[in-house]
Amino acid sequence: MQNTWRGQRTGRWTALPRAVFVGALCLLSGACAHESRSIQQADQRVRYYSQKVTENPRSFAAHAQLASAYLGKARATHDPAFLARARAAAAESMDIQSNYLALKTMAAICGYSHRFAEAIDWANRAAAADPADPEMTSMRVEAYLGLGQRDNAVALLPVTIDDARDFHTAAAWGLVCSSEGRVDDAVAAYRRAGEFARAESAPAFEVWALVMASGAYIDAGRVEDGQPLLDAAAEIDPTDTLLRIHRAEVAEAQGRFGDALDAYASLLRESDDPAIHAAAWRVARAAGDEGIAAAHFAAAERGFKRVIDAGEVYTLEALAKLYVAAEVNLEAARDLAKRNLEFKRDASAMRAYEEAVAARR
Amino acid sequence: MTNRIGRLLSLCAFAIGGVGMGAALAADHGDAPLLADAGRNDARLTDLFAFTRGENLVLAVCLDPAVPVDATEYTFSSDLKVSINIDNHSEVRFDNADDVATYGGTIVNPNRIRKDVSFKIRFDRLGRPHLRTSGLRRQCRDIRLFAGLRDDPFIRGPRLGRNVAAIVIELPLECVVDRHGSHGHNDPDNTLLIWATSDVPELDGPFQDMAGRALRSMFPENDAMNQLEPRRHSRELGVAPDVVIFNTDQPAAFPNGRELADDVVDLVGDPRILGNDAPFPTENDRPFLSDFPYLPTPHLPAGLSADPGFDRRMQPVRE
Repeated sequence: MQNTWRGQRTGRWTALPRAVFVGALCLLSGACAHESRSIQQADQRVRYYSQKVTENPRSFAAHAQLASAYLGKARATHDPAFLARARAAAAESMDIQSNYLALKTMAAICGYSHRFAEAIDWANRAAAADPADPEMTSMRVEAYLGLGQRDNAVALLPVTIDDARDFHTAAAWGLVCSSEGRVDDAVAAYRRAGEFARAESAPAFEVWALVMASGAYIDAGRVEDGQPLLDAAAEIDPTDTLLRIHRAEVAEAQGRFGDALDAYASLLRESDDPAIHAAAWRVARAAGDEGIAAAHFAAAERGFKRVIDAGEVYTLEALAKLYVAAEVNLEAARDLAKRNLEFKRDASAMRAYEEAVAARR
Repeated sequence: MTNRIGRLLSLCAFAIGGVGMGAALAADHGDAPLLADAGRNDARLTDLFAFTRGENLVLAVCLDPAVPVDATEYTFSSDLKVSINIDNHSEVRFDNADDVATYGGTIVNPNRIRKDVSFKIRFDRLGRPHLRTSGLRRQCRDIRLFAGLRDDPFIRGPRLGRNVAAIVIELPLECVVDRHGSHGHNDPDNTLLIWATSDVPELDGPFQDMAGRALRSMFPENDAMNQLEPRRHSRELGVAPDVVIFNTDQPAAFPNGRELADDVVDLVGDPRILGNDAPFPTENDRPFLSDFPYLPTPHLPAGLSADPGFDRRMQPVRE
């Protein structure tokens, strides 16, 4: 039977992976971006569940769903204000009564915002309510990895990658292997996750898995090995944002700076993502285009600071790295990286701090 | 070079936000992955019981397999619709030993199952239940309704110490069957076919979860049952309708009805359930009550007391 979400016909709920869509403004051209599909979906969900809350003010489910809708909007728009709304809606839900969806949403909010210790607390509470949910397991794995607690992450998973029986478990194994630099194992895990996604007819998840597998290769400098995986993902959904980001990275790795900048510009027309601005700055600088580079740097810095000024912490590391790479504001970079370690202690965070300290010398 | 923000927390980015991909296929004691994916655990039916106490029929439906352990009350959502339905006209035969052992009997005309009696439970903006009925015999005047947090009565290892949302209805059996009919015992009129459904507005279809005989529709191969009326199960799925067959001339004992103390895990013996039933309980972890609502009081964190829930006698409001 075709089940549809009222207002949007889907076979099942659709995922919003790595929602980098959105964008009211394109920084460089000054043109207004057309709303991306992800923003439209996010807006639709927020409107729908806001109405539900109005009609059912004592429904913990409606408030929890609104919280998840706001989280989706935060991811789509990169506006930290929606994280605050998500937290408020989840809290409202739990004020009515403790419930699984609210606990799970809080875990996701904290994970997304790099508050990994809090994420684990919420995720543990949620997991106690539904121990069999592999999504919760994967969230806990990711949070433990964010804290640099590899052993705790692995303890949640089956013994081997081959023992994974679902997408989330396989994907979690992929993250573990990636964090350890075990490239081939990471690729195998992500590909296994992709197979589960295909079996479940979940193309967005399959694309994510293929792109993550390619990313493992790209991170290891094996760009040519990653290319076929990106091609396979493109056959499923060439418009996927994460795919397009990785294609831009490949272009950059191959010295095709113009192609990389074009790709980033295209993404930025849809989304004012400071992380993409930072990547575009890097490419523009390598290409020797100082003017473009400066504009991207300013936009990246502005975007990262906006998040921090809102009381969030998930761009501390990114801004620190930006400053170190640009060899500016090195004292601030060290402070940012140091503060980041209060919330994030994986290899990336440790490295960012070490590099920031070294840069000041 | 890498896009760390892009790759880190990608899984968290997947989670929630209306995302799901069959996570509930791995879940126990609550099927309907569509509801789990939609974040509507509160609409997932976990159990249906049908038994008698004296001259009364007791129907109990349990929901929400993911009630957190720190919950001390249960507020039902005002957009949730729960129905308990009874077919009291269908002929059921008891001459096929396999069917009797598996389903409680053989429904002669499964394509003609219909809702002769319905109990529709809705909840207002404060979470208080309201009951509307149809098909009750005229002399029925007194129904007792409970809605609230209860210990999960499912006798199963992973459910030890867990609570569920429960709705319990008790009413004179004569409101549903003609106990003084001329046909005598094992009169088809005294055999009931019972099933429950749940519905939430954000998903299409008349309902998204259905509960009949225990340990059938919860398995992935039977998921289609959850969105089809029982009269369509035989014709469209080629399976016996997923209903509780309850010959009220006999005591309830699974699969004839379902008593609270029936250890259906052992009685059904499906290895998929037995395989992870540790520590393999044979009785419920909390005692069943001798009085309405019969389901045990909920587990609570130390020092906390439970909300008593909604418990009221009422005149049926007929549709």
